[in-house]
Amino acid sequence: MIAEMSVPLTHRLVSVAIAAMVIVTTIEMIRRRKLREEYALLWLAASLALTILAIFPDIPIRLNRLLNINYLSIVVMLVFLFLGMIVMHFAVVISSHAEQIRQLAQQVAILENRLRQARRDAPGEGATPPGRAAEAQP
Amino acid sequence: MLNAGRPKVLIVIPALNEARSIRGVLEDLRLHVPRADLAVIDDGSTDDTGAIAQGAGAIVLRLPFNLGIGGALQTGYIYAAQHDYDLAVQFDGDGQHRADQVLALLQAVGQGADLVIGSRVMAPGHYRFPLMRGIGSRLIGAIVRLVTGLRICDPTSGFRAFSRRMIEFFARHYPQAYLESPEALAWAARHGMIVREVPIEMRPAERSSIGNVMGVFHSLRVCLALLIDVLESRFPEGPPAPTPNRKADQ
Repeated sequence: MIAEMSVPLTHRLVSVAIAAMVIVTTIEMIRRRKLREEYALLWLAASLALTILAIFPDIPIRLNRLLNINYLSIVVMLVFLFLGMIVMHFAVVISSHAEQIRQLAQQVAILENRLRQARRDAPGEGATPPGRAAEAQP
Repeated sequence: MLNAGRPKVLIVIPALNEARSIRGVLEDLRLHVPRADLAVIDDGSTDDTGAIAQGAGAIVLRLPFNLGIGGALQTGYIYAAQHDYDLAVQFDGDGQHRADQVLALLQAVGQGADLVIGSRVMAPGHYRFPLMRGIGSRLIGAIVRLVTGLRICDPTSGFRAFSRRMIEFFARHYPQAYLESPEALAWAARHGMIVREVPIEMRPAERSSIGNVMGVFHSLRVCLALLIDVLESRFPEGPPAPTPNRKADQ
């Protein structure tokens, strides 16, 4: 009880508001299809954690007593952990995208060559799109 | 050999803005290796490289944007795998490699090797590296020996020939970062490919594409990459060569 009293009401209201904003933003991003669910999981988890901390601000204080670590240290550590996870996650996503883009470019080069080859092998038809030649003749 | 009697040979020529030299390179290859097909990989050139190569009768694979040397070479190997080539040669588009040396590489593949490296330093002509390059090459050679047990005099040489087995492997896995040759060689050795080195002559490089500082950086990066590769699990033996459009060929 004493621990809860140590966090002023205005501070608690502000942190609850911020947490709510993060949740709303994340969900809105997903709803507008700007953020795919698979990438939003981390953000959802983070905003949930933030909300819990905002409603029960005495959790870090109790942790602090239990582990004898400075309140600020715990917060900084949590933030670092989260950012580290996000960065790692992005690195993995970017790597797989780079791989996919490369494979696409290679296939485009090979298919473009095949298309040119096909046009050359079928003289006369190259200029007209398929279907048109048949239409022209009743 | 897939095509008994007469092996199909594809010479893979990566080219980035080589409009000035590409025609000469192709003519040189036609003269010395008339039976081989020539594939120019236009790695996003902003000049007429692709058009000139096409005019000279080469197969031109035009990448929609610049992938870098590794991605460009791999495009050639994918093409070779899809079109049932028995042998492939990696050949520079800038005129440094000599077409009259290609047969020596192909012969070594014919004698049972999977990856044959054309070595500048083994030749009696004594190709001289610029100082920093020489140091880098030796350092990379030492690391290659450490991780594969192979003594390769010229691990960074990009003048190479491949067997069908090697083509199929590289079509699936090829290192992408700049100065990819030592890693490609280490990957091949790790996957049971027979690697050989034969002496060849090369023209001295007119200009290096990168400066000394970047050269040192890339050498160290390659050494690190070679050591890290040891940690990686081997590539799984996947299905043979990516041939998504095989039906269209028949």
